[in-house]
Amino acid sequence: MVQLVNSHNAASHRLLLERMFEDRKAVFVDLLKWDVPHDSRFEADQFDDDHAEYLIVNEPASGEHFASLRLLRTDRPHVLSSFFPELCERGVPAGPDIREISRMCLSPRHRGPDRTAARNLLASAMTEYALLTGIRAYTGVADLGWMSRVLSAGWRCEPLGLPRRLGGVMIGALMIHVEPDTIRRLQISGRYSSGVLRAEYFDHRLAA
Amino acid sequence: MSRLDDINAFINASRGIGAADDLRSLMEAVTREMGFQTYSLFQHLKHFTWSEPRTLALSNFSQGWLTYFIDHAFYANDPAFAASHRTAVGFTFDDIPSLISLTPRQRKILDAGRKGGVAQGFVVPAHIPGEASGTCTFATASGIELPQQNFPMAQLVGSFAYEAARKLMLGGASIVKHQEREPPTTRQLECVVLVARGKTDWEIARILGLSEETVADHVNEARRRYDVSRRAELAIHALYHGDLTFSDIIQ
Repeated sequence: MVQLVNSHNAASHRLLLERMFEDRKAVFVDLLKWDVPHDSRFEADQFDDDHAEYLIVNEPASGEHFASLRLLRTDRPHVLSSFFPELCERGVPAGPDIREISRMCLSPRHRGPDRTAARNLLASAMTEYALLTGIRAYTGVADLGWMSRVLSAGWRCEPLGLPRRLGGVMIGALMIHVEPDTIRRLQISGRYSSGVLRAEYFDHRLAA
Repeated sequence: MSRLDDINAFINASRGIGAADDLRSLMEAVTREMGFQTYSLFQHLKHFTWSEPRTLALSNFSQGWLTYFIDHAFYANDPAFAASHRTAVGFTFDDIPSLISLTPRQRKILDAGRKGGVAQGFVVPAHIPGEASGTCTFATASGIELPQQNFPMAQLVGSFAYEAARKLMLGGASIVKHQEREPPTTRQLECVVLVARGKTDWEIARILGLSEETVADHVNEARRRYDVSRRAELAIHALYHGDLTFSDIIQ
């Protein structure tokens, strides 16, 4: 199951959020050595505020966190606009119908098939979230070493600029378009399972 | 047009492709546009045969080199393939020793590639879960610098190109094409000899008693048969294939 957590329901998912911030520290700080704000337990930055939303793959019975990602509004400061504007050749895409994906995290406690399943659940939830709320595209900074994998899943990707080397990796800004046939394309690659998104409250307009 | 426009034009064109030949022309155009000479899209299989059409293999490397590469089963030990399994980011042939320690056979493959017109290359790995990995390589012949300024573009184009080839393969399109080498005619070889001696088409026409247009046609056809783009390469390839000997040219 994939839980949408935002300011409306954060209080009732406090433990799950803590698990997520712990796993984010394990992955981004301890494993990948990213230079991002953290304390001894959690990795969280200035964008983890009331405007952030999260898609969290979890097991409700145990409260276990399997995978998650953060969705930020692009009409407010976000990672691309604040740290990597130079990756976007034509300006950073912004608007109420574009969300930025960041901190996509697979829990390091899980292996093999669980990780694949969690990744597929996130892909499904991302698509459902976008189609249900009128989001037409996601943006994000991507490690282009993963590009083939993203494309093979069926996502329609558009580079926003030329990639650059950062440390040992090549990063670039990408836009992923979500369209009615996105579900069909994810189904072909076996990445989609329907009705996985669990949301008590959508944050904005089409939620009513 | 900016590089980004070029990339997005390539992506849009590659998305609509239904036949391998369309991807071939698209790849040839983008390869030249970036300043490389040749490309290859290969999935790294343990066994490769020309008779299996559902293989991800698309390239405009010279037919001579491709045949040699396949006949000697170089794909099983290719150093660029092996190095690509150690990284997800594009690398050049010069980077290979920092990624793997080369075996004598792998050094031999690199040497043979150099002679076969694939001297230097930029290799974009494609790692997809549940599938054998692959690579998209853009190459230049000996003496031609790699267009370093276009590596970022090649990185992106390589990933999208691999996906386009993969979709063709999964869709059941036959993408392996083995052309039996078509040796040049005697007339064409006569022209190649004179080209190698530095003669112009006009001079060749006078020597052989042909019209200048006919000579140009023979030279162009010889270029097509040897799969080379420059006149100067003709003699080298004719020598390589044994269609001419040094004494034919020097006498």
